[in-house]
Amino acid sequence: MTVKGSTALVRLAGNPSCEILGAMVMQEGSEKKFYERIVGEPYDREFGERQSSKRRGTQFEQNVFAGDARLLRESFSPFLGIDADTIIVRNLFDDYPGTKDDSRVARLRITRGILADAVAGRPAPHIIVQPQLLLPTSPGPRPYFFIAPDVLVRSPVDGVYLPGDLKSFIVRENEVAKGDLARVRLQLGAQVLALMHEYHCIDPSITVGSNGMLIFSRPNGLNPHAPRVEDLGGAIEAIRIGITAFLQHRQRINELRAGAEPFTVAADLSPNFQDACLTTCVMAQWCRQRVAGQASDMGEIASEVLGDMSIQHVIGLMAGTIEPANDYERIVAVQLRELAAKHNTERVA
Amino acid sequence: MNAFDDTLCRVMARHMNRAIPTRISSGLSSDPDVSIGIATIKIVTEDQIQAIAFGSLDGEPEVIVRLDPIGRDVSDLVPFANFMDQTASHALAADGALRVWIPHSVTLEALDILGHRYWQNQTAPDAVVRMGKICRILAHEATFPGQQVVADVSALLQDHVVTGLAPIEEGHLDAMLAWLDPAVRDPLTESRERIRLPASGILPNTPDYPSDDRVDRLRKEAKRATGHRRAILEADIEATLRRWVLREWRLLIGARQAFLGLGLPSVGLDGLVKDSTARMNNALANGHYPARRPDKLAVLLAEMEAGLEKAELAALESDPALREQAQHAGGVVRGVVSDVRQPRRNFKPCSIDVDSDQGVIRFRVDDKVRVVGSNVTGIVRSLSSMPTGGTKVSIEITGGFRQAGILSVDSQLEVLREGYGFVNHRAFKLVSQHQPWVFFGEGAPTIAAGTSSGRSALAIATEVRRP
Repeated sequence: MTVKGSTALVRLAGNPSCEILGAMVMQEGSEKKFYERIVGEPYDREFGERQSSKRRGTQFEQNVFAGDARLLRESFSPFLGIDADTIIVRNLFDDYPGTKDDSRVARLRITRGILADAVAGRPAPHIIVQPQLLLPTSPGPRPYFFIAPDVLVRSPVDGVYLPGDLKSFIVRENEVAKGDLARVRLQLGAQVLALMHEYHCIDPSITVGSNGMLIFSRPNGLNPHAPRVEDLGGAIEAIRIGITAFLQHRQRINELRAGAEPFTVAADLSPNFQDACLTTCVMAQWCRQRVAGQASDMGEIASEVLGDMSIQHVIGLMAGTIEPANDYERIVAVQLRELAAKHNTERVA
Repeated sequence: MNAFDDTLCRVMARHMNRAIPTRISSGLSSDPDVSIGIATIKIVTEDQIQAIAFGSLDGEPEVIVRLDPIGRDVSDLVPFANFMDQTASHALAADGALRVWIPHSVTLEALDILGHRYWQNQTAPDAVVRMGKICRILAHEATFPGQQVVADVSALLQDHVVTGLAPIEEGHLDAMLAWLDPAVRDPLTESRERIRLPASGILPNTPDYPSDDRVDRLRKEAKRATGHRRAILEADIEATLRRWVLREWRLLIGARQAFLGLGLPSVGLDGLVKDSTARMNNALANGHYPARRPDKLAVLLAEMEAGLEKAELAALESDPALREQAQHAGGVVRGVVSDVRQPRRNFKPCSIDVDSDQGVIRFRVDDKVRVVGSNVTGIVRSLSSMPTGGTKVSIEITGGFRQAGILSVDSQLEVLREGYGFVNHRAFKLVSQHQPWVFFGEGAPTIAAGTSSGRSALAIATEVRRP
């Protein structure tokens, strides 16, 4: 996973109190490079998106956007309440393709123009493909995040655009796994916030709803399911919290680094190791070393149950080599001894 | 298991350098005669199976590697399709008794998607269509709580043992196995090293094993190549896929042995086995018909709820360790009979008082209950706190009046709630016939205002309530 664009915001929303994550977002270059510069060794685990996934994603988008986005028009036709053939699509990749900053800025300008046209009542497309938005966090290093929804769809109710994201992974009956849905909802949340910012620049009185749309792939071929409209109130709030946390981390990291690169102060930062880090962050093993021997090394639940007690301390309570400091520790010791008796373990005297 | 007990078990597992069993009985019945294993390797995101290992569990598996898994030609799947058809025929001959062992839920997902793709595909060979149906039937069966057909060995191990890892790490089957292998001296280090390579039905893609990206590249090259060069590339792809699908198979076999090696008896599962075999027998004989109509979906939901309850009760009935955990949460009440009111010995009416030390219990008045290990059933009639801090439970006995050993003062017993989950097929049949708006309408119908009887709904309900 990267720490650029909306992905960075999604990850900050998932773990807002991690300063290491804040430093990773500020650092130029890849997350893997960040790890290698801190640890001094090559990263020996899987990193980045697989070629097969990238290919699938590209093919899905190409298929959906082909023929003036025919499949997309058919998908959105019931939502827009008009015939698929009369839906007007504007694909900004036709004007400025690519992911370079210059292209992004050019697409941002066009997107802003279309939004302004729509607000002013001038003709505007029903669907904008590959629009570009921006979320400012200025002043300071990394003063903005580029946010790129796959599509913006104009609501037939109030004329305000809604962000939509295409997901190429296979979904049956349009039912998505909880974990996958949580991640993509956060992504949409970041897009809604960016859209709010753009509309606010045009007219602060415009209300952007907290809805977004997700379009998943069917099991057969590369066809899209019907769009799912998601209420993103919680996701938007989580992204807001993530941004606020990033601004705090950025300030602290800037104070510490005094002009040096962010990775140089990693040892002075506070990580917040949690279970999900193991599947999302290259720094997970490094951060876990800092909680080695602590209850949190056995997961968040163990951390909640045992608090600050180390595993060795708990075993000492069981063995009787450490006196319980309070009633809770006494209960832990008694229960552990019962458990030990059941499993025929010898007490360490 | 609650968070506290779970954590203490993890500490104990760390201390003892081995997995700690959390149950005394198995949640899975013994293997029926028709028992097979399936392991798969899929393409990430694409969810297309690119290699399958399948066969009986006591020999080498048959392996299919697919050189072009995203192509339209599915003739390479025919051997697997035939195997599934034969397995289904054998299962039908055994009245639906079947067991399919898989390493983890990803395999089930892969089979389900395979089923979705081909069960109604008119251009696929008949055998592949039949395979698609069987895969869908299996995936559907696996959604029922307590089902006894699909044995997801990763989930089974997580249900029956706890290791010193974080719960999220226990999803890695190879890591779990490190805690169940006595030859591994330091399972913590070993398991975390094993996690580096995926055990989730996909090719690894680490710097030392960049197999996924490599196979992807080789496929591209093979498409352009011809003759000898093409044969070399295809052999390379085949060898890679074979190697990793066989690793998945070995994980499956190793994990199955580890699970069976726990030596947990399979007791009290007859009802669940009966339900599973009946569902399988019906589906394999008549086909898979997913519920679409509201009343059918309601039946499905009711079946799942009933299955969940049956599975929980079967586990509680047969496993003292689970009962102890449930007792902490108040779900099971352990106590001593302090009074028996039975005018005629061995005959109704009969009611008893049970004094328990438990301050927290989850029984409520009118709950149907049963005494563990007996046929004594009853209804909770009153609950009162005792001065000692425990709870007195008064139970009207409704069955098992002749159990004098239990229905006598000072006898110790464990009481749990009786299952109430069932599917009211008669009611659903009426729903199907009359199609009421609650199930089939978009909104409530408008009812013309009538004359009020002047009585409250509560009063009417109280009147019709059975004593």
